[in-house]
Amino acid sequence: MGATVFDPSDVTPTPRGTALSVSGVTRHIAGRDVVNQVSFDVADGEIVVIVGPSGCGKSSLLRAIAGLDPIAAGRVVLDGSDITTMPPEKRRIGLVFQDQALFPHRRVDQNIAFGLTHLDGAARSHRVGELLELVQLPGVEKRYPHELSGGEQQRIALARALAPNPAVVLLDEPFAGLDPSLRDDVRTDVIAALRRRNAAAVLITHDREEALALGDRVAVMSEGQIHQIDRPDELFERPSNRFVATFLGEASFLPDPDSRDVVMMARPHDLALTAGRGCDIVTARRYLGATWRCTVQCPDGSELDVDVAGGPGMMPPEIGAPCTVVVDASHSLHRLPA
Amino acid sequence: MHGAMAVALSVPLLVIVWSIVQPSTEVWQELWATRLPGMIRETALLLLLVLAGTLVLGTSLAWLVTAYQFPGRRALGWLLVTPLAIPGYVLGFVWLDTLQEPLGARGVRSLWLCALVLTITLYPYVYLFARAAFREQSQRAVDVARSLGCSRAKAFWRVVLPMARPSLAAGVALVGMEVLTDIGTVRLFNVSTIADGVLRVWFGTGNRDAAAEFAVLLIGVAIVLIATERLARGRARFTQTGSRAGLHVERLHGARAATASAIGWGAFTIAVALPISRLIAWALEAQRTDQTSTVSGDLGFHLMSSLQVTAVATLACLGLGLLLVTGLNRRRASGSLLARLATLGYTVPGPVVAIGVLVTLAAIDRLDWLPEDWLLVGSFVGLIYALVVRFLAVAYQGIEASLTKVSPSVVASARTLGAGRFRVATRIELPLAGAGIIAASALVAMDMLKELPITLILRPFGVETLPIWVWQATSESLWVQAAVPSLAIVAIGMVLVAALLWALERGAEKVSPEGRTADQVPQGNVGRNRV
Repeated sequence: MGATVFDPSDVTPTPRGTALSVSGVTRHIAGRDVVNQVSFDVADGEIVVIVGPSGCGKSSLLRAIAGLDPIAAGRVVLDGSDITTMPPEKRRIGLVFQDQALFPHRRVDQNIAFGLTHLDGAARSHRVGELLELVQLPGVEKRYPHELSGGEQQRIALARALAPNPAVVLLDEPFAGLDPSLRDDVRTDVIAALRRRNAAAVLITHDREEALALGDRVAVMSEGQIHQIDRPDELFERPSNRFVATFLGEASFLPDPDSRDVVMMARPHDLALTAGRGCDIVTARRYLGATWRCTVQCPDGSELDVDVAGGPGMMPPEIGAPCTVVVDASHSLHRLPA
Repeated sequence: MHGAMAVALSVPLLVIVWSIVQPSTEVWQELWATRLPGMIRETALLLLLVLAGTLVLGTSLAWLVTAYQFPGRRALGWLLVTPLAIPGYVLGFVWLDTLQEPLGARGVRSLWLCALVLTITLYPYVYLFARAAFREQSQRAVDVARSLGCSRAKAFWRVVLPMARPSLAAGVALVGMEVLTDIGTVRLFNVSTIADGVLRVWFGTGNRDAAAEFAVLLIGVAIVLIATERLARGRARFTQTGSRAGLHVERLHGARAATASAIGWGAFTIAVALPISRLIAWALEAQRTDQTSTVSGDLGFHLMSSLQVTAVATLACLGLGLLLVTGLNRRRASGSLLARLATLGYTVPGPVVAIGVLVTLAAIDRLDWLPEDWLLVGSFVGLIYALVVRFLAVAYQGIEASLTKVSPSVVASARTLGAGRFRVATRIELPLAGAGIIAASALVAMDMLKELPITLILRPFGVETLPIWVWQATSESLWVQAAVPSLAIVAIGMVLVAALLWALERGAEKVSPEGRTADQVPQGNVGRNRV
């Protein structure tokens, strides 16, 4: 550790206009608040990722923003105009789904041109070419969706969503259906295309690594509510509650000597382990490549996750071996409500 | 063995095709000079009208019950299939009599009314296909279309309907086949179609060869019908990947809900409720005036005849279908060719099959292979043979579709758990495919029950089915006499429709491991016309 220190202030976005503003949006399904008082803004060109466990209401929120389902309360403002009651076809919001939802009976060019009814033939095919260029799939105009790979289909779905120049693009688990070996490449391509377009986007995922890697800002959602929305590093290092802390990565909570109302969060790399002596016991270990992640039981019964350096010749402590765990962080541990 | 079976089932059709190699010119010339051009015109017009009518009626009713929630939706969902139980020649004479007053005796016997009657009795084919297709579609495509600027209505025209096209086309192709084959209904309305012409040539001149040549015309039309759809489909696919959550259902309120209910119940009343109530009234009158029997026997006799033919022919179709599906290796080119040969009959109208079978059986009889006095022409075996040639495809495709729905990984799991081939078949495949096979049997039985032209030409002495009774009575415009056998057909038909619907629903409940729901089973079963 400690080679290059990543400085988040380098990427702080310059002030921009607000593309999408969601305030107090609430949705009921069968008497339950699936989305409860959700508010957040998306700046021009910004990618906001909403991450949460399945069933947390993130897809329902997305459908509400797109206008596909009615909302019980709240407001959706796009580019300064209130679109809360507008039908989806008038909203200028692009949609990309996990299963692409490409129209199977239309060729690629017909899929992309679907939302371009206002253009004449020549302008339309020019625009289709432009978009295929953007998603780096030139020349596939005349193919049918089933003749493309999953990753290519996903890029076509993005091109189709971007074609009518939407004010914001909503992506619902866009990479979840892809083969893991493809996923990284498609992810990079899709995000790059969005960046080139300087398009504002809201992306939904249940994959925390994807969320942290892709979002300019990340919102953590559960049970219909957004717990915290912030830059990925802020979110990871300074979660506002235990749910956010543990959802984004493994974390142990240590009692704060000064206050009973707060606990200190320790990520596995904030702790160090000395094997051989002590009253802690190693109960499990997982090899992660660069490190071994050990689970240690303290005398009071609580458990801690600790990273131990891996590498040639480095043997991890045996399971059942006694050890001592100490805090070994260059920073003071983050405190959050108990 | 299987190969020989497949060939045996295609011989009658090959015989017909062969017949045009040596045309009997004098009959042809006479026909061409007199009635043939008119027949072709009337057939084409009738076909066009009924195809358009069933397409519009079947699709819109299916859309009504899948996309909207309104009072009576559930009941209508299956009630709207019940016209399937009422043959066109029954519905035809009921409406003929009902409309005689306002339209006059001459005006009522028109091609337009005939088309209307056929539309009302045949739309359930399109309805079933359309409903299965709409149920299978995912809301996502509609959502995307709307985010790209389509209103709800526009999304229906640009996305939902085009994606349902192959199903609609399959349904319409079935309707087309029924129209081309129809004898009973067109005769009622004095419409002279090609199928009617084949029958007239056969009964009028007794000239087998001329009738056979005439029949080739019908095969031609049928092939054009299917080829058109194939070509139009091109490379495009119509199935979506991913979730099959189904389309969102919109709840209707107030006047719109009332209108939806009214449309659904209105269609049911015109197609089913009114005709049945008229039939009941006539049947009671027949009872009073003691007209419930014919020269050949009473209701019981005809009923037994019908049940016998239906049961034997259906079982034969099922047995042969199972043998062919399991026996032919369809992955090999020869296997799929043989399967296609054996199921060729479904694309060929009944009168053609009947004459092909007659020519074939007569040839066998002339060879004197069989013991003395044993003749295949005019035998029960001959009749069943013809019915199997004609309808085997219905059973075959239903069985094939249901068995291929059983996931290979399920079978593999069962095998690795120690189940032998037989146990896999009885414990895994049959329970999973059973609903589909029952649906197929119900459809086959329905076809057998209503069948008229083949029975008319090939029935042995002593076999007088219910449709024959209806045919004889309606030829003389004796509606009251036709009511009793008609009601009997409708009653058995209703039982079969109920079995079909039950099987389709059961099939829809079963979900195989890959998340491919078995509600594609109705597709396969009703999709019997994929040649």
